[in-house]
Amino acid sequence: MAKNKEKQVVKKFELTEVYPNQPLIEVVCEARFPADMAIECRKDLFYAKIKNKYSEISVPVQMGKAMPLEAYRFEKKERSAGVMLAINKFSFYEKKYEGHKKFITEFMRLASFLGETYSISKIDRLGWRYINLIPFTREGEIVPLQRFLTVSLNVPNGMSEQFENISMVFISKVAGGSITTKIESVMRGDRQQEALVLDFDFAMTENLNFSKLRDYVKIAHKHTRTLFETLITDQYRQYLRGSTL
Amino acid sequence: MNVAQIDYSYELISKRVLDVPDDYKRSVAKVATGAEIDVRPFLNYLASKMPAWAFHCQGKVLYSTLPVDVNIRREETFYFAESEKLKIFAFGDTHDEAMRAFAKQLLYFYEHYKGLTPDKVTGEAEKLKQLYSTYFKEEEYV
Repeated sequence: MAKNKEKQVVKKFELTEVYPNQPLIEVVCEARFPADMAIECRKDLFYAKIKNKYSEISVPVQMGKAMPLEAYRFEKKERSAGVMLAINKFSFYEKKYEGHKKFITEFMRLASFLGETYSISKIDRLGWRYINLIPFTREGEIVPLQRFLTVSLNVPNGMSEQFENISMVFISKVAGGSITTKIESVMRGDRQQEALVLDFDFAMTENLNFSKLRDYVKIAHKHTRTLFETLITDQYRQYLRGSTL
Repeated sequence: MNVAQIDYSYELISKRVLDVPDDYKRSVAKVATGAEIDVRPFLNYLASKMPAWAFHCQGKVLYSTLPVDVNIRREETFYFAESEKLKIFAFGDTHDEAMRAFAKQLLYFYEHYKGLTPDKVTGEAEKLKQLYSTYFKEEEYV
């Protein structure tokens, strides 16, 4: 039954499809590994390999935090993509996402620099996160969740499903890891624009080896994309494809 | 629901979310991958275009089977809600007022084109009549 449902979803989209009206504001892929002190001492070695493309350095400034665990950022000049590096994690993020193939190629290029600069063999966690911001206008005072998302709350009689606002986060156990899903209505500071945050994070946590990073990244992408497609309604997919009035 | 009511609703929800006893911690304080990423600044650069399917006006709701691409922008003190394809340009003092003006015009044009017989329309008007009759349906709002 579940397999049939998955097949139906897969038919509705292609993994390579990039929507013209996509709501993505950021895509991140992150590998965590046992802390390596060499990273704390010699970030310059890694930076030297990427600075032609990611030249802008942001150092972590957070009072009361263990600073080696906070990531340095190396970003492109126009701040559209960057790398985060701390003693126990490495991530690549893009704000202008042009599809998973380019993203994975770049992630792997950067990860290969990491692998040749420091001695990382084991991975504790591999996560792929999509952060979407979906602008909406209320329908009769209500957040029109059902127009965008297939998620529904099965509330008992007497409770209303006409939501004025929504904030929910849940972590679901899946084979080999977990998925964190966050759905929240938010309002801009000038109180004149609202949006739905659709933020989900697929994480693999079991028996991971640095040498198989590419395989994990592909799996993580496929899971996360499939989840996104499962979560959105057909009518919203129509909008994403640019089929509008 | 006016801006103040919506604002209060947001305050209420953020208080409830943070309402955890002192010696307990929230189950999911941050999404783990790229936990450093802050979503808030992105809100300032939100796309001005958004999809809308239902338009409430004068006790009626006009539904569209295709998403209507509404472009909402602010110019000086006014908010403008526009649809190029439907040739609708509405404005108001707030986002909400602009959307209400948009819905009012949409309903007006829907009824206008519905009332015209095919021999009364030509060119752009013919296209709009076709568009309204194909994609929109009206219901009483309960």
